Amino acid sequence: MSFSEGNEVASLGEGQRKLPISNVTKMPPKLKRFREYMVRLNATDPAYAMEHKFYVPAPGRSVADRIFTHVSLQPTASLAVVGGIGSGKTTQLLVAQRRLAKIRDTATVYVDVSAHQHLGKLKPGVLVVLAGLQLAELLGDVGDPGLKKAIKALTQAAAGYREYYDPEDFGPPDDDDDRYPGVDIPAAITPPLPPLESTVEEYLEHLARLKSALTAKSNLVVLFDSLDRLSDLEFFATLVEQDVRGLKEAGIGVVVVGPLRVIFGAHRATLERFDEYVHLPTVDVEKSSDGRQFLTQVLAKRIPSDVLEKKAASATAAASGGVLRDLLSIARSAGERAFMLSAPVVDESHVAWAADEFGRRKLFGASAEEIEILQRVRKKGTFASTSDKDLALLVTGRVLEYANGQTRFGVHPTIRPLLADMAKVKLGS
Amino acid sequence: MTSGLAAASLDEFAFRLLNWRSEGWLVLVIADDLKAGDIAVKIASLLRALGAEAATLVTVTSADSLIHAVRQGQAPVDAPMVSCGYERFHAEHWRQLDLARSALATDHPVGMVMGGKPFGMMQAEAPHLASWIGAAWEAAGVLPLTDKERGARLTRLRQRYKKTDAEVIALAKADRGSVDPDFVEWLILLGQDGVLEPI
Repeated sequence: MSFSEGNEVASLGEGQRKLPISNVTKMPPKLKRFREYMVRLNATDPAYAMEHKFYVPAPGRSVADRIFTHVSLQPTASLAVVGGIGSGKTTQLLVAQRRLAKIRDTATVYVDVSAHQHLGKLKPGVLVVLAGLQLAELLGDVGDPGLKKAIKALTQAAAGYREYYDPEDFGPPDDDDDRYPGVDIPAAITPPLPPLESTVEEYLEHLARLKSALTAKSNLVVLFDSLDRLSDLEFFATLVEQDVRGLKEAGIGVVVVGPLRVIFGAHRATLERFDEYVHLPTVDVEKSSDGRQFLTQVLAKRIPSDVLEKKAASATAAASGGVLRDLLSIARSAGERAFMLSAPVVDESHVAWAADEFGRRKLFGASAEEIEILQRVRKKGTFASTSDKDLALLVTGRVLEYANGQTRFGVHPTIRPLLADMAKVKLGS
Repeated sequence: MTSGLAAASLDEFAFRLLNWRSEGWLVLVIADDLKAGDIAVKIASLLRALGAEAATLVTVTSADSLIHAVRQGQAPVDAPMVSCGYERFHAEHWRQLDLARSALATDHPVGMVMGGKPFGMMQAEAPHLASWIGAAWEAAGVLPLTDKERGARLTRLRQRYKKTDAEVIALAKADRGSVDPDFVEWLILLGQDGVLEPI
């Protein structure tokens, strides 16, 4: 087997369980090979997987397909993408961006909001400014003074600045000046949506100017990632009301990854403000053979079968519950276990150990009330997606939602045996 | 031990931290929150003994202080780091850290040492961070061993490696910068871990 070309990789099973003292710094082949195994299973950098051609299309019509179809037909559309942690949202966004970029009249900009902005300190206008700065990067050096001015204004808006003024520029107050005492007369009409904030409008003007420089591309689509981490759904609604609406009104297509909680309960109305929302459900590994096959292919694309046995890959797929990040995480942990035991390959026993370890970590700290809910989901599959307690279990991935034809809920497979053991102990006591 | 997590001794954790090549930090959960600082100091010493002389130890007080520690301005940490202080974190601190998860990506691994309570709070309040965590172990071998336990462990090590205590001490003296974690444990059990300190 080999991950790489040439003879630098030796077969598994060589060497001792641990490295002899004098060899630690020399990095024996086994260690080198397992390090490569770990790197290839990197779960947190979808761009890495794309670059190395590890991407495997999901069965059926993927989220990337749906984004592509919708935006290519209606370039000024606004779309929300919602899914659980580690379900592959970023990957789908990147795939959609690559496909959209091939349309001759469409420019795309991907913005990982959290890479530029403290998500705890978001305010209206941030998304517009970030889109503008990314677009400025895309444009490169510009000679037009108007464009330069727009870039400068957005750069200043991003970093903040001090504005100096001459007090003498301000003459005596005129009749309209609010320094005169007066009485506010409330408006007779309250529009259904609040007006855009003045700063948002100002940023949009600069962004629109930059967009006009895309002479060969009349359409611009901006894809915002990371906003699924927002737990303040009121604030997410404000961002949608201000930035997303403003961008759409400016003729710019918008795709936003939003918090999973928003599809349940009172904040669902926020989704109605998008032209469409796309839900990325967990891959169904129990009821769908396509789902299982897809996940084993994800592993096979990264790790050859003489390192991770086919049966072990299949067991990993089942243990992941269909969550892509969990799939890679369990496979990594199984690889580490095999390495520590000097095993020739990663087999089912290593995966079983890794799945058990993963489940224990996932269940750690769950309260008695949460355990009770989990037992209910395990036994009956009933899940109240309007209760905050239940939703917390969904967000933390202890409960998974499947939408293979019809929606069903289940506990994460790695915690199922632990819950069963707990139930037995309770019965016995 | 009660957490149900897989167990790792301190030297094993240090070894794993030193060799971690994937994204995501590693967590060591200890039974007593109040001892997190002491344990973190020991792990930082072990890292240095294993060759990571630039390994650092950070006690965090807030989400921002952790982000600042790992980013060191704009540059990510340039050596393995051990962090503690999480027993002071409230739910809001974890939520802030969850939002800032992208800022925590580092080229070198970071170990988080904390008790079960903060670890449970992280799982509940910072699900994105918890999902990103590379692995978590329960600390084993933190409590002092009885003479009988120590003797049994030493016997197992001697049998496995077919070496005498004197041979292991001599090897460690000859190769201070790169010692197998089992041998580190062996030396600690003999009370000879002083030979691991860089000259």
